[in-house]
Amino acid sequence: MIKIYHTERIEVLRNFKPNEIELVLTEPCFSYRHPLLQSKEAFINLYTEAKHLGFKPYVQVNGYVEEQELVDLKAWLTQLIKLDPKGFYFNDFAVQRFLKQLGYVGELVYAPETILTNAMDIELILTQVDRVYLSKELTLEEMMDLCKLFPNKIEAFGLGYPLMSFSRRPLVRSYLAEIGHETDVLNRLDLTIKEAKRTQHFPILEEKEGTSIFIDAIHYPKVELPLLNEALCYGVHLDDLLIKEDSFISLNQALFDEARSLEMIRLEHSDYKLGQAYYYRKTNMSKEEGQ
Amino acid sequence: MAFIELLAPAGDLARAKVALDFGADAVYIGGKRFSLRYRASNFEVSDIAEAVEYAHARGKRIFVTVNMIPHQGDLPGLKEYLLELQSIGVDAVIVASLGIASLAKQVAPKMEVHLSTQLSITNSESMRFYKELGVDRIVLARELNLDTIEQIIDQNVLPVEVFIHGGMCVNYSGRCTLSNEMTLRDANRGGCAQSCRWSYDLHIAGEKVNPSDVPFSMGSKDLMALGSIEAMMKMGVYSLKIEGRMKSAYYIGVIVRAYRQWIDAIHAGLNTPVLYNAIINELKQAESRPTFDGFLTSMPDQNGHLYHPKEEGVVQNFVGNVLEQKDDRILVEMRNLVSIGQALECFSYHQDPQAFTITAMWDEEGQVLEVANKPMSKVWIQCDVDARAGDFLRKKNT
Ligand code: SF4
Repeated sequence: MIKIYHTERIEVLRNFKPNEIELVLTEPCFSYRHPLLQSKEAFINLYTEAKHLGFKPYVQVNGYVEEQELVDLKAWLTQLIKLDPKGFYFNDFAVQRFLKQLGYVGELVYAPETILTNAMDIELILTQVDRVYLSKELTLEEMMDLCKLFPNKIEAFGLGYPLMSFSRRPLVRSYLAEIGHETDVLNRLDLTIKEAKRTQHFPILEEKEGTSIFIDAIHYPKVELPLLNEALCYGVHLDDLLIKEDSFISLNQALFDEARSLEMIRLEHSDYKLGQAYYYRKTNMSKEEGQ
Repeated sequence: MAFIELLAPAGDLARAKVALDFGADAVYIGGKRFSLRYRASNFEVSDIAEAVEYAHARGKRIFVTVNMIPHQGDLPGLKEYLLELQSIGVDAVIVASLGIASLAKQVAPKMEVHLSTQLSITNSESMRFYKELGVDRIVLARELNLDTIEQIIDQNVLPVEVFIHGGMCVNYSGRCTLSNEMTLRDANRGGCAQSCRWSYDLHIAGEKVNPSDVPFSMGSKDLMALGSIEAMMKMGVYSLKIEGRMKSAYYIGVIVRAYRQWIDAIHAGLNTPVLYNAIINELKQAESRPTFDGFLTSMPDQNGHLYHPKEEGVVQNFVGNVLEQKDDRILVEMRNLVSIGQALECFSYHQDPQAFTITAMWDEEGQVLEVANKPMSKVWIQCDVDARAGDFLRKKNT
């Protein structure tokens, strides 16, 4: 099973060997969740440095492209193709169509949030792309069943803070304006929200493109990765967003170290909460059954 | 200006009829399967068939939402359901899954396939992709402004539908799992607990920054796009969509009639500021939540949110449904308290609101009443205006 890393930090990359992992870099013009990379130049610099380290990165374009941005999108994709990426991850089919029109022949992976949950959809989409990235809101059993149906065509979330929602609105800035609180919160990594009756602190990231909210526990499938591997899952994504560099590196090493148990890792990383997203939680509850 | 469809929601057959009677060109409903509102649905297939018959007899259309984003275990029976919907004459299905869209085209090609706002479609290039799959209409993402909508329409790929009124997801629709995480209720399978509207503390660098009386919330004000209808008609939006399958018949009646009136006035060149203000006031008669115009004219800021729980009020002016008319009396199923001397309005689709004052009331046993204060009780009210079964009574705004 391929390990597919997402990072904006070259220091993180230096901990990996190019022949052992794949790398996805999120471009900053039509995407969100890139708080450290704010310009094309910064992205190209990171991309170039990654290449110098021996990586052949994929590029992720995960945003919702609005009509008036299409011309710029096509121009930017043209430029990105010249960087010779191994493939593209995308959310908006405009990206896929433009890449085809531009004669791009590398790999294409459809990676929307939340809406890829069944074999019928996957089968149809696989007629257009090389692989798909599954929704996180599936149980482990559901994921394994889908992986078995489409051997080596399915990718899954492996490590990181699972995204819960993305709003086009500047949710934090709007609220701070309402209460007259003057703090610059754009791209800050230390914001959380806590629901009145709950103890969890959900990370919230505000970027110029909108506001993302994450589950409070880092997804950490220590026990489950071998099962996904057996089910012929193509690869798992490991994302360092919101995680300190050294913690990410050691959490990552421990994830693949058979000698380390989940209990040990939890003790060593008590500053982070480790969870299993929806692996063991069905979410089709009614109002009466739900929490 | 070309025809523009007014598309209204309905939670049951009675409300579907209200929506059609009050001026909707088409009604969308959710059945008991594969719909985001399936748990609350009152539509058996036989009810859908009756709604179709009622609509078609009036030259109108019925769309059925099959808009769940299903997991594998949710799929059995889908094909049969689509065939059944086609066989009873449903005009279109509204879907959020590309697999369902494709299946519907294969097995039930007489029905149109409309792609739901759950797919957050924001440009014409992706619409071309969906068109190649056989999709007939696109419900655009709510995150678009008027300029963007116009540019999309100018590309002439597929007819577009735009939300004009009702509740709004604060997140990109279909991509929100707040409710999944917090309540194990899947928003994409009809379980949304509206967790975005809850109260939160906001912490910056570990410090709580919100005052306790104004908690952080993401809850959006409701959409109200009356001011943009003319622009949408001019640019060629195909369908104007009202949200609210859970709303009451009275709400549906008021909102549909208001937009119908305004669309007709624009067509006739009679859309004056006076009428506009009157319709705004009319919309407020049913709306319990503050409204704004979403993304249509600007990016929502703090004025697009509900931070103060008290902003959400309950509309008390609805009095009841007229069940029967006999001589100069009407039998009313009561919803709110009224007394003798109360000024009322009979609100209906067949005439402008008619005002009258209650001079006498009786319970069903014929006992004289000074006050009618039992919700759902049936009360005879003296009435000297043309009120008929199916009309609504409300307190007259003074
Ligand atoms: S929680 Fe709010 S934004 Fe999310 S699906 Fe529900 S209503 Fe929409």
